[in-house]
Amino acid sequence: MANGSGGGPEGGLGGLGGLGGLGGLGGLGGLGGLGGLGGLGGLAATESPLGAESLLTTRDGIVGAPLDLNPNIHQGCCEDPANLKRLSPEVRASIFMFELGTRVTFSASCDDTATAYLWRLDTKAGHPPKIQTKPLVEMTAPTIEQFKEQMAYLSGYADLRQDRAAEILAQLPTPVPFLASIAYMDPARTPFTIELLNAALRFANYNHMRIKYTLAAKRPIEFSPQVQPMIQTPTHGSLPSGHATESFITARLLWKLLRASGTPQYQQDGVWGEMMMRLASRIAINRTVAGVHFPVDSVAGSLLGLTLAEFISEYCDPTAQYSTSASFNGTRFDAADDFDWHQLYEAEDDLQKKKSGPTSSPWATTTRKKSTTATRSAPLEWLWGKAVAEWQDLPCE
Amino acid sequence: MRVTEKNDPEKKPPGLRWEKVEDQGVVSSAVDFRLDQQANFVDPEEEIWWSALIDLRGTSIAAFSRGFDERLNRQLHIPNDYSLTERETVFEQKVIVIFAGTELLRQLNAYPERFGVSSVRLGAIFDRDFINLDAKAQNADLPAIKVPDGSVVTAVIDDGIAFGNNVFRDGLVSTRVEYVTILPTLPGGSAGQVSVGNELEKSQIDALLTANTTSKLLDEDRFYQQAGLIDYADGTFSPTSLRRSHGTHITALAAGYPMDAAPDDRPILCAILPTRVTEDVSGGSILPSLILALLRLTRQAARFRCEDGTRPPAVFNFSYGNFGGPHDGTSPIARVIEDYFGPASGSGTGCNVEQALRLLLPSGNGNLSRTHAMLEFPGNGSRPAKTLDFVAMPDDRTVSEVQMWMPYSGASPLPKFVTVRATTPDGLQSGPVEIATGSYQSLLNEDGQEVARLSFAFEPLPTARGVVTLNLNPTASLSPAPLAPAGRWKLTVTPEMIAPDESVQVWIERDDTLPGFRVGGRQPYFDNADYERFNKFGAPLAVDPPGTDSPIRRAGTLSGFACGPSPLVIGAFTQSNGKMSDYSAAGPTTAPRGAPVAYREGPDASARGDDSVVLLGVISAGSRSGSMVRLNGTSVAAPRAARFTVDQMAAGAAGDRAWIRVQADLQDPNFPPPKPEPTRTGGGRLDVSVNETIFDPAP
Repeated sequence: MANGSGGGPEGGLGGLGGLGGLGGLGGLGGLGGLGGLGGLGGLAATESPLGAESLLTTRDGIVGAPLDLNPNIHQGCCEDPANLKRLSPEVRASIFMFELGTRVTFSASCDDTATAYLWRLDTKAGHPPKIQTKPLVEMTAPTIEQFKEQMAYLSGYADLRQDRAAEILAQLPTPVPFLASIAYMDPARTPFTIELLNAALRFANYNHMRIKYTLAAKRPIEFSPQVQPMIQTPTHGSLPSGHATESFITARLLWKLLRASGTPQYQQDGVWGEMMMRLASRIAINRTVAGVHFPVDSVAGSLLGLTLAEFISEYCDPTAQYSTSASFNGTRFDAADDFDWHQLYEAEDDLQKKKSGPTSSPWATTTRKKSTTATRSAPLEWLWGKAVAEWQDLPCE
Repeated sequence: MRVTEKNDPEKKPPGLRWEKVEDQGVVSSAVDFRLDQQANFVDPEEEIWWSALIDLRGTSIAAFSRGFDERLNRQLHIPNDYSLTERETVFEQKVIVIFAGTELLRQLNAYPERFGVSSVRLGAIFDRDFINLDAKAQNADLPAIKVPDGSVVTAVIDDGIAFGNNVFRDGLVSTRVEYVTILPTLPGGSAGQVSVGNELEKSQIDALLTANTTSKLLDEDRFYQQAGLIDYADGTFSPTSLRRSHGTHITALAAGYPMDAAPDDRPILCAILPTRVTEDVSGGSILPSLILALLRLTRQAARFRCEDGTRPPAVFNFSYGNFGGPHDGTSPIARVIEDYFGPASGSGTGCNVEQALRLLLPSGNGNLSRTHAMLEFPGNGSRPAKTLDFVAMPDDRTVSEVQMWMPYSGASPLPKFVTVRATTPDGLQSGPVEIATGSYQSLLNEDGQEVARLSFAFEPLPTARGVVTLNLNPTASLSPAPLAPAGRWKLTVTPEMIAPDESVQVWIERDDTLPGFRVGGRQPYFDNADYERFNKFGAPLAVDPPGTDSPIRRAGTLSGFACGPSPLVIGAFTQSNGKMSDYSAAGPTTAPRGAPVAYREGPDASARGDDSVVLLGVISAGSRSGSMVRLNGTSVAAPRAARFTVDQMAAGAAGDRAWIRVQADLQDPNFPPPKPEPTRTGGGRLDVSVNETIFDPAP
């Protein structure tokens, strides 16, 4: 992590390192997303035995006798997004995570293959929560026979490892630096966009890990000793692919930001979104090349990521009018097929397909409804507003 | 630290032994060896199909295929590419492609005359699923393709051509490729579909482009999957799934243009060859696939009509080469090339068309490969034997082959030119193999399995020369198999009746693994101590030192494909200094039977193969639209010359060998003197710029 001021252990970016525990998201700092705060690193130097000692003796030297003060101080504003700008990004990250995490709940059923359900918990702002769930994502694992058939892809894709080794390794942590090569992101230029994408990544991780746990899909390495992945196979389940979820959730959210900005070059056609989806797809497929995922894992992961992106944008974007729920039935997926994101999403109009797969027996369906419940989150709206502004042209003086 | 005593302290005697084998009555011992050995490396339960070339003599394809009983007939498939008319034609001599089972090929190799065949050559093993046995011969007339006057067709035969690349399109969803055939893909299963691979015409390619273009971007991975070129699940491997692919690079050099400045008079035809033959350790040859590609592309080329009703010329590029063969222009490949591109061609396409067809071939990259030797035995009286040190590589998963070609003789029986003995790396010498039908020595392992064979065969007309072949099994295999020993073999050639002015010409067949491909073959080479590899500065010597005593030669490494009279053969040089690239293979070649001179002394011209000594290779299209990559070799020199030929033929040039030699001679002064040796550069160095036209729209 670049930290120009040479801060101490918790200076600047150091704090983000603590997120490493969030299942592979540790690399979030890779973009130096919060580098703008590096100047504060100097303060952190006091949070050491020597630093504390020096503050202590300094105070002793200058504090003087206790004063009888009646400070003219106001109470802090309740539930006011204006407070957010005074919070450190790490603190905000926790708030955003709470805002999103408390809007979903989960259930599972175990039939022939497992099914995981994500439910939305929409709550009117300013009211105590009323427990009432609506489907968000339903995900049924393919059968073990389907996974066996998908093994043919592991062998074929392995031939691409020499060609793609560098990008596979570079894509281990976060897709954001790769997205930054398409949309002009930089910690100094678009700190809030990066913050939004990182919040989405945490939320994606939070959900897909729970689903993976339920579905307990075995990894390719367990099917054959000849897969020999070129990276370590993670300990969590194979389907849905976390990389597919994370690359598609960030790609779609970023595309939504660009669209919301109103900036002309992002409006003229779907090419920016298309390119971001191509990138997300490449990242997902690279996990099959590496030998740690089946193509169908990417199918499920991309559907999850696309749907959760829509979910987040509902809470972020006050103008959002629709909510989308999705269902993936892995047992209907033709195991002879490869991953193809076009079957799930159309970038130009930012729309998920209603049905994917054979019309009579689709393996994925989505339902898009007008948002009826008040889906508001003032902190997320604040973040969204800041992020959208980063994509708007600056008016000429 | 040894914990337990070694329980077998006795030394075993070396398990290998040579055995003289009586005449097996087969035409080609090498074919017999491969048919035998394949069984050791493939699951015996599997139904093995081979592609093969047969040399028909005085019969028709139809009569040939009627010559088998019902059981064997089930092991034979004639590709549907041979039309009903062609099948009924009686050929004096004609090389054709068949697909056949092992037993049928054994019969052909043992009793060729029974079936009207003079010889069999094995291609590669085919997975049964990749042959459409139901395909039937067609006699359909293909509709004409109208093109403007001044058009010239470019036809490319290569592996992994990313034909959807924008440099081959004239619009977002409009291709300049009028036809492509993909040989390494699962064929359809109906009678009307082709025997191997698939075929796509422009309208179908455009439909695929449309179906896979969203927001003006082509999803190329999906396009190639739907076209059948890439299938990650079926065990084939397409280089077009990699960033850099040979076929794409070559095709763009020959025929690439920016999409927004694409000409309408440069249509393209493509044939995509297989790259990996599943589990074929026996040295699979792509020749049958090449012949099918030529059949299909020449037939397509004949469809084009200019506005005045004439057929536009078609320039073919085939940037492949090998090391072996008689190098006198009489090999099956050379003959097939003459069928299509020789002076008597026209009938070769089966449509009796009047159409100028040209073929460009690379001279080969084997100049420094140490795979060629020339053995001369000057003087009179007692002449000493000559020995070649031959290094068989360890971890070579495929067979190796050395061919020792005898001089031509009209005498019958053949003079006993020389006798040949082979010595294994641990010193076990074989008995002599003589210039006599059926003479062979077999190296057996301790289980009595054959692991190497030294044998003589007579290569029938039009070659009419004897050849002694050393065949080695793989030296490594992941499963138990009879392996040949790796290491320094010796081939001892003792002169008998060979004249002082005659020579034995030796080539090691090509056996290497290309970058990006799974490990398979490793190239064996000659390693006699008297071969000088470097000059006094330590740089590789690209030309044999004058007066060298070494039998190992750079001269004569010219690709075995490129020795016939008609193709335009192109070597490679370095643009920045005008020097021939070290790898660019050299003539001379051998005169065909009885002729006073050879068809060629080397390539006809050379073209840019490297930008400079530090920027190796030249830039051309990568597999995906908009990307550019570097590749070097005579492979990239040939398509540059092909592009030049296309453009000049459009302006009325003859575009033949004589013409390109003159052009090369005219352009050579653009480079620093001296002009390289004619055996390496032919007429001279061509100065052709193509990158500007591929990548930059015309100003």
